[in-house]
Amino acid sequence: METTGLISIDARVMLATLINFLVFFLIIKKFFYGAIKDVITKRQDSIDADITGAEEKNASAGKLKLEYEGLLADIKGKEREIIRDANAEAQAQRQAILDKAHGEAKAILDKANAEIEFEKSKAMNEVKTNIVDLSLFAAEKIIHKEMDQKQHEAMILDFIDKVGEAK
Amino acid sequence: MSLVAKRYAQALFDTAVDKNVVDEVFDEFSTVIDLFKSEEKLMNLMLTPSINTSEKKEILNRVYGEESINLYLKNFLNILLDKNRFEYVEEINETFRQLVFPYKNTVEAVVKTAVPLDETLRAALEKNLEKRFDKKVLLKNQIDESIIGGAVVYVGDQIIDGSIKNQLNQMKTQMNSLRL
Repeated sequence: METTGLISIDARVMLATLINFLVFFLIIKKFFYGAIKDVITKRQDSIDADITGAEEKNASAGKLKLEYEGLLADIKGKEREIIRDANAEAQAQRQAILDKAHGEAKAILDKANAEIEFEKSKAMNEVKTNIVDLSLFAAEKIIHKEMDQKQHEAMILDFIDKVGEAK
Repeated sequence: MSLVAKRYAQALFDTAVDKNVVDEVFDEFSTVIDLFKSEEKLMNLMLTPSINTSEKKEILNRVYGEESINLYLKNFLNILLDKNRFEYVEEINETFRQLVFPYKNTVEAVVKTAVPLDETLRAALEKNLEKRFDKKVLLKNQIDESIIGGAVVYVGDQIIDGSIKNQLNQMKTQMNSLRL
């Protein structure tokens, strides 16, 4: 008996194994290759579809993002516009209120001044009238007291002359 | 002026003009009226209904006394008694005077003075007024101390004011119209 080493190459065993393998390979190829390939293709398609879907979603999300950013910018713009308008309006109202208040204050002042002037003039005139009345009253009394018969007659004579002159 | 007074006055005036006794009737009628004005009792007597007309005429005759009164005036007053119109006598006299004045180109005037006007001055003023109005003027004097001095003449609706009161009033108006 031929002794062999722990590891030896036997051509027949090798051949048999090769044939065994080929047969096995052919059987596998014949009966299972298609199914395996289908599974793999399906899996591949599914993965592709997932990737495409993810890319589309990604693109869509990017578009939405852009849209929202645009809207946000618009909103901010409008917001600034509204604030600016509100400020301008508030400023105008403030000015109008101030103008009105100034106008009213001036009118009140003018009226008060006119009233003061009127009252002053009224008072002055009253004083003047009183002075005139008093002076003439005094004059009347003095004349009445001082007039003697001769003076009366002289005045009447003067009157008679004037009546004769004027026609 | 009532219509009654106007009609009676016109009748008396027409008669007086017709008989050429205007002056006489005018003066005597004025005297009679002055008497009735001063003797209120006499006037009341004339208006008392219980005394009959003939008695009233008798009373009137006694009032005239010895002085003869113009016949037309006497008859006229008797007619007033007959017609029961004696209450209008003063009004008739006033209307009669208003008829006589234009007829005689005369106007009544009053001069107010603070002291009584002596006859010389009154006559002088009357003369000047006649010259001014070109009419005969019957000027009466009234005392009014409130005019202070000078004189005020009233002729119809005209006033000639030469009083001190008026001068003072004018001065007052001028002084009051001064603006301070």
